[in-house]
Amino acid sequence: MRPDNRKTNDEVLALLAEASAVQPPRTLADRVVANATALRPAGRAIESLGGGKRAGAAEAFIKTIDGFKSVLAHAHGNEIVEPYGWSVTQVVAHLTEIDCYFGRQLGLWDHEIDNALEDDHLAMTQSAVSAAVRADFATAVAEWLRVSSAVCDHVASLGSEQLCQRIKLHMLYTRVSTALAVRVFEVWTHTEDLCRTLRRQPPSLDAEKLHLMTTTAVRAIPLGMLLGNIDAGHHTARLVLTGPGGGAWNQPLHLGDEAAEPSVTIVADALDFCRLAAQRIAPADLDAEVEGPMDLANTVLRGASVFAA
Amino acid sequence: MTIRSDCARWFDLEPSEPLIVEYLSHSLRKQGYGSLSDPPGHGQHTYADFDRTRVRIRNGSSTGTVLSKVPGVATKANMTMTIVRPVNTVSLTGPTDVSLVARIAVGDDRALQTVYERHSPLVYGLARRVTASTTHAEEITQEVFVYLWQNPDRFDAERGSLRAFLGALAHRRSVDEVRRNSRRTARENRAGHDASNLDLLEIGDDIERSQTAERVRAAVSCLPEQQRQAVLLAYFGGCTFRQVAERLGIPEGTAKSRLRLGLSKLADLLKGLT
Repeated sequence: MRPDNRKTNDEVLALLAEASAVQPPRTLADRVVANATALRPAGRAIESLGGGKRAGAAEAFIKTIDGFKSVLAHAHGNEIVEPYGWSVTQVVAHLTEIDCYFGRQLGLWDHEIDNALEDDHLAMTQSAVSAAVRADFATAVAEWLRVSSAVCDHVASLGSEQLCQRIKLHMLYTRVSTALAVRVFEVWTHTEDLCRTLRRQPPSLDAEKLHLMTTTAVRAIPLGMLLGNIDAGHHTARLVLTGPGGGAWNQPLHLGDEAAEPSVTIVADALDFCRLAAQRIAPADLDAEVEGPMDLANTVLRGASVFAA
Repeated sequence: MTIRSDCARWFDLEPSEPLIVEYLSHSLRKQGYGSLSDPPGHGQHTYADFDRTRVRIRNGSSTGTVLSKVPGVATKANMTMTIVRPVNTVSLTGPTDVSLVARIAVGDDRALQTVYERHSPLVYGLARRVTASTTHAEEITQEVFVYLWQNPDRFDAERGSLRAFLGALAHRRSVDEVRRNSRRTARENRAGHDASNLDLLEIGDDIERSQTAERVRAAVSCLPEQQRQAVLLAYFGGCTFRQVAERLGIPEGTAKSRLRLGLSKLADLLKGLT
């Protein structure tokens, strides 16, 4: 700031504009918003406006697998990856087991599982993870590459009708496209975990893929509420996730409700919200702006932490 | 296990699948989760339960929030109606313009409404002053906010405030409008754009004046008449130096000089004003 706090010509001209401020006609506000949203629909980030969700899910899944592969190339196998304290080899064994299971659910092959553990993403791979303590890293990676490549080839061949078909994933009957979006979350989370261990930059995340993840995370909130035995009543939350891949959603918190006037608005970074959904950021640690009751906001954020990876 | 399956059916439910909602509702009742139309708080754990059991409570309660402890119901008693940043900072002035533009970038139409409420008097008033037309002022106001909605990335907070950005947009569009009109109509015939009519002090009897606006008006009224005319013609009349000179019947150099002196004097008079 200049010592005498004197205005520049530009600043003077800006102040001149203040002198002419006057309330516009009341009806103009509605027209402005209506015209704006007619030209660019509300709810989606500018860079996410192209492409359909379902076609994007398959592509995003394949890219996410590729991203994990690229990071894996820098590992030796014995590094410890948090939050589970597994070695990289064990993480690979976990992913191999999940990909075998996913391929089975897609109808690619038979694969024996313990039905009692099918609803628990971590428990169902525990024996494979334990066995991988003594496994050779190169062999484990080769096996995962074989399985994941077969899954990716199959996913790449799916048409829009097949992507709409329902499959069972961890006891959840869901569309193939939704299952892929959930798996994008899972593999992306493991990739970030691995990057933290290896002190490497995570692979770039394009806005379309991130938008798929944010959409999935927001729509899963009522499910998270129910599975977590959290009752937020019949409220609607407005989630505004900023940055590339973000968007704005009015999300009912109770299963089956229609969206209503939001009781609370939560504004957070899109990527951080995905980390929250994948349980890599605790609700209390998410940097967010809240309009409305804080306790409801905290409840929403707890319900949003729904994906195990 | 069954309940999980049903949940997933809802999870990727399309709005056109009401039957699945009904099925789910029935199934949830069987599982003891209550009907979809049950009052809030019917579930296993209530909203208030969570509030009592959570380990970390944000500083939201320090904003004066009164928790109603009514299970599952956010009553007016616990509405803070302020913007609260959970990491221990509380803003009583609402979201910042920078935050609102980030929200506009991801399609938050409510953020656009807030920006409009905050800045439309400036945009509309400036456009009305420059074009001397309420019709054009409304059109320009629409153009400015629609432009922001479609091009939020054009705003760079490091280069200035959003208010200045919108003001500059409004001014540029308004001047363009005036110049378009001047090509159609002999400028001399345009009532309302004669320098003698550009009286800032006449504006806004119907509006609530801010302290800033009052000080600016007072400062403008303190300028010598010749400088005042030059400043107002250039800024609110959308005139070039040459046009100011023609309008006032003076050489172009004199017009430049009066404008420079006028702005310099205003800078002194407005010292300290933000």
